[in-house]
Amino acid sequence: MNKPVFLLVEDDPYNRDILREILEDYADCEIVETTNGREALNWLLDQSKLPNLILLDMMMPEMDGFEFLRHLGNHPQHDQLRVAGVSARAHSHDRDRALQAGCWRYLTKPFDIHEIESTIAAALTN
Amino acid sequence: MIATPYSSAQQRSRFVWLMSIQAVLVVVLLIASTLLTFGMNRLSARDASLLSYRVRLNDVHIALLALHNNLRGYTTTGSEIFYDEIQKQHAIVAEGLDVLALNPPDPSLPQVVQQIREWLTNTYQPVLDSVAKQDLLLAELTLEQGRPQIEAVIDTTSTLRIQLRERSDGYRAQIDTYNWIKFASIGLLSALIVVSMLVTLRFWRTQQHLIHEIEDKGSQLLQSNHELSFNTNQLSIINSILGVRINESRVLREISDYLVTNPTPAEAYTFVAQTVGNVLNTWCSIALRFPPPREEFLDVLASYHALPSRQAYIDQMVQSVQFRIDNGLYSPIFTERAQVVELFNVPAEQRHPNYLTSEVREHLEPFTLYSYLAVPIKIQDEAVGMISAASDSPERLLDHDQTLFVRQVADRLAAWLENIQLFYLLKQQANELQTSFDSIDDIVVAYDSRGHQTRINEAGLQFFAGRHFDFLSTTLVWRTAKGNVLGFDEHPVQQALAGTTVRDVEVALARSDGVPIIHEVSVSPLRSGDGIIEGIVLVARDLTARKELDRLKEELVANMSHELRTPLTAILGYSELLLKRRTEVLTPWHTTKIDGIRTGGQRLLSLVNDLLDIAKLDAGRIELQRQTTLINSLLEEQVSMLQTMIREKNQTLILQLSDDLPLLMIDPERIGQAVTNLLSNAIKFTPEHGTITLASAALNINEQGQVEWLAQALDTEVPPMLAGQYVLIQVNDNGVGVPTEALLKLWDRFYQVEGGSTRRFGGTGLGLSIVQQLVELHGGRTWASSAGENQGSSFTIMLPASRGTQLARLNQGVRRTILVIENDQHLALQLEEQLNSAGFEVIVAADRHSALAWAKQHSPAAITLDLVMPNSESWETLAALREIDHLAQVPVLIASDASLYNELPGVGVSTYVVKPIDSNILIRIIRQLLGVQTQSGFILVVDDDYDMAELLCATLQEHGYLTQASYDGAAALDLIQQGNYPQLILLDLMMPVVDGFQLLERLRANPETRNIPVIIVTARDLTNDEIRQLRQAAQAIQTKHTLSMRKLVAEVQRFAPLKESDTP
Repeated sequence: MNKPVFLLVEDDPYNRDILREILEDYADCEIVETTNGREALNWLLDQSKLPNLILLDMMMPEMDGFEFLRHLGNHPQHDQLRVAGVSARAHSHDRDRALQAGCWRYLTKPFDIHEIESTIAAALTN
Repeated sequence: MIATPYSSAQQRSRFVWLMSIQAVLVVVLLIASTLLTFGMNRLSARDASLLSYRVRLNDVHIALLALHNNLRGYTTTGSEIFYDEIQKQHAIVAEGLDVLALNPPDPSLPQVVQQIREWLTNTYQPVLDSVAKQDLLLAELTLEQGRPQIEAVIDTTSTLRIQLRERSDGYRAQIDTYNWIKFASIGLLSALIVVSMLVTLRFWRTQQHLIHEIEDKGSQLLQSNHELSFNTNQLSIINSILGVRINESRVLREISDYLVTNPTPAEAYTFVAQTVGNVLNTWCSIALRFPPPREEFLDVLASYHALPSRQAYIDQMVQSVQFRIDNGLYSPIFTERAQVVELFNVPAEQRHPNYLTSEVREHLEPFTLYSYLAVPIKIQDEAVGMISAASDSPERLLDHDQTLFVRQVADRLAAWLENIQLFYLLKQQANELQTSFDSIDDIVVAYDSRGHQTRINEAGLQFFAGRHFDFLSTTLVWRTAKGNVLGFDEHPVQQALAGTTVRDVEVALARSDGVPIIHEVSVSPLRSGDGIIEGIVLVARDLTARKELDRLKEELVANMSHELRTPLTAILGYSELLLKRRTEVLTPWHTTKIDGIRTGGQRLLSLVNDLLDIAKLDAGRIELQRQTTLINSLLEEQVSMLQTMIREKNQTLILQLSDDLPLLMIDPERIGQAVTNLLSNAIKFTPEHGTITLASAALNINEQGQVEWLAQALDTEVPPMLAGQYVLIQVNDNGVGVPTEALLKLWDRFYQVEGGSTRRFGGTGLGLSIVQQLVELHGGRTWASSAGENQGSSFTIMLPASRGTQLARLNQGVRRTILVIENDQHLALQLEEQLNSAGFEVIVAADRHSALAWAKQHSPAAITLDLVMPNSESWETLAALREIDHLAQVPVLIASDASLYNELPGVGVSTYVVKPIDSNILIRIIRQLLGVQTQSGFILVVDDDYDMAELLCATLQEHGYLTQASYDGAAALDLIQQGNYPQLILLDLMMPVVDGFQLLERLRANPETRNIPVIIVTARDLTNDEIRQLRQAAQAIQTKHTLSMRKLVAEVQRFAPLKESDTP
């Protein structure tokens, strides 16, 4: 069985590091780290395999989460992609906005490790 | 004197001769004297009667002149001053007319009387009536029409006066003639007396008696002669007085006439001073008090001397003296409110006025005051100035009649002055007001009580660009910042007209180009002096800039909080990671330190969260996502989230939740946040092993403000609130308590009971402030109580229960059938059983397809949808259900896990219940959802005027009705034919396609709709036939011109009363 693949899109190196640690702790997996939407898109387009979950920071320089999601809509296999939005904006309308833009889940910063773990679990079981 | 003796015979014959001559003479003289006396008496009587008529005629003549003048004044100004004078003069005329009509000495008098009476009837009375009705224009016109008539009357009276005078002169000429004859006869008599004396000397004894008689007659004649000449003198005096009076009355008329030509004040004073000075032939001056602060001094505005040579002295004096109101001959006018100062004979020591300095006195030496009078110029019974007349000649002493004349002048001047002052004052105030109005950036518009715009400032003109902003027409429809139409009762204009000042309501006003601009509007009633509301003034401030500022501020805080969260994420994330692996790598020392970092980070995080909330609350940018909420479930959820904290401190949490609480229309997230805040405070401030109680209760406050607990009563003082139902949430602890003096300050930001408590217990000091603001945003109240320190404390939230809000639209289809979409067979069976026993018919659909297939064919009263997870299938089911037209408004309940609560969208869902489903709660919710349809009134508003329909809907909703607007008869008919029978219809008559008449006819033809009450609301002028026809078919008719919302609502309530809810 292939290792699960997670795509991290996060500009802050420390936050990226924490997410990586949590992911690694949870499962033996392959983690791809990108620092903005464009990098992530480029990686996705180069790949034949799909990540099991994309952890996407919504606020990033160059290409933010929302723009990334718009571009992702053009991906040939976009309906098989799961994106968990990650943001420091915790209000319900921020959540609604992200879900409307195409996020499957919405995680708020600072991280709740249990929440992230349950999201990973959901992504892996489905 | 000694008489010569005569011979007896001679004497006798002589005597006989003399005696016979004498007898003849005596007889002749006696006859003549009798005739003369008789003639003179008659003449005198005639003349006297003539005189009385003349005097009367003069009075009437003068009174008519004055009456006409005053009428002119009255019609021009409407001033009461004129009216009093008119009454006085009219009385003189009326009395005069009565006298003149009796035994008139001249045949033309009755005609004059008739003429005057006609004028009184045709002109005078209508003028008075018109002025009384405040129709000054009509009064002027009437007066102008009656002018030829009154001029004719005055001409006739003048002519008649001259005729009468001529007749009088004739009489006097005759009396003169008689006088002359009398003199002659007296001469003759004297001669006779001489002769008689001669004879008497001889025939003293015999003729003594006769002589005496003759002497007596002579003296009598003399006396009557004296009387006659005295009469004549008096006549001429009266005549001259009359002449003066006529002159004065003419002058008064001249002054009145002049004053109505709108002279400038300076012109007017000069004219009056000159005129009076000339009439009195003295010095006349007019002085007014200076305005404050120099009101102690008089300003001499005009000073005139009839003798030009004296003018220079007077001018000199006026210029060089400061006249104090309390120093001078005139001072009683100001100091004692004297009506007049009369010093017709000035005592020698006062002849040189003592208010003059010696220097001036010396200079004015030629001026010696012999006679003086002054009368006040009174405005509203206060002496604002005076007219004085002073004579510097002993030959021209003033008298009381002249005082009366000057007083009349002063009265006229005062009336004019009052008008002109008022006029200038108003003009000045209007200018000042307009200038300040125009300098304000806010829109300021004033209206009278009939809705006419009376004033608008520059900003208003620019905003509305000349459009007449008439609040009684279409602009009555105001939208809130969110676009909802304001109902009639909450409409600021209506509230202001009812006497309430409404402040800072945010509404969107349409700019001249139609763009709605959010304004903060305040409307205040304008009251007259006696408190009657005469209109309103509306002030509107453009909020665009402020909104932008608020938005920027909120954005800044949001960004800041994001920027703060990112490093916090690192701090908290790393501490978590480390702590998670502590057994592998960390010593206990490390663990405590890292725990310290995490705790600090968490506190910082909650501070950031609180600050963000505060910023949003301040900016008014928290939008409540209200939904129907069962408060107990919400409370239980909050408790479950805090269980860990409670367990950690080994505390006990007791739930005292009342059953049967009213439903709340609240934002569960926000109220949940408030409750969590109170609970975590309680946990924090309660020592280990302490007890915390969370209670819920409901109460009703009636119109008298009395509190009635509906279920369990809580031990707390309920603050005064508006009448209605409320739900209370109370958190009690037995912790450190709160000192009494701190109970109110607790809710202030950053307030901590004791300085060290933050460090000891953690917390930002913002929590309670946020709780209070969130609750107040919901229209609720918060308060705290404590028995004292270490006695524990109690925090209470009070929220208004939802009243008849639009939970669901009416759908009559298959009533009380519940579609249960549930794939868990066991659960479905259980629900079916419970709902059946509650009297509902239940259709269970195990999957989406069967649910949709059934729902397309039927109309369930409500749908429950199980949501295992917020996955796409459940949402698609919901969306698909919503797309079926007749299901669009059917209430949908989502049953879901509490853990997914935050994931659930607010759209398309009526309410949520949390699994495991408590069937009692479910049934209650369903009953409440459906109950609204049948228990509260559903009103159909049919009006093609969109704004009007919305206004009616909004107003009725305020009164707890459900409303549906249809914009033409056909749409309304469709709605009704689908089975949506309203409890009442508000119907406009003039509509396209199917008009109100047709709709009414169709409704009445159908037995099912025959009994629905209809209230006609129309702008149409109805004919009597139409009214008769409509009365048979409709319950009430209201025309839009005179539409009174209160009356309309009262009628709706009469024909469609709202029933009391049958669930508690």
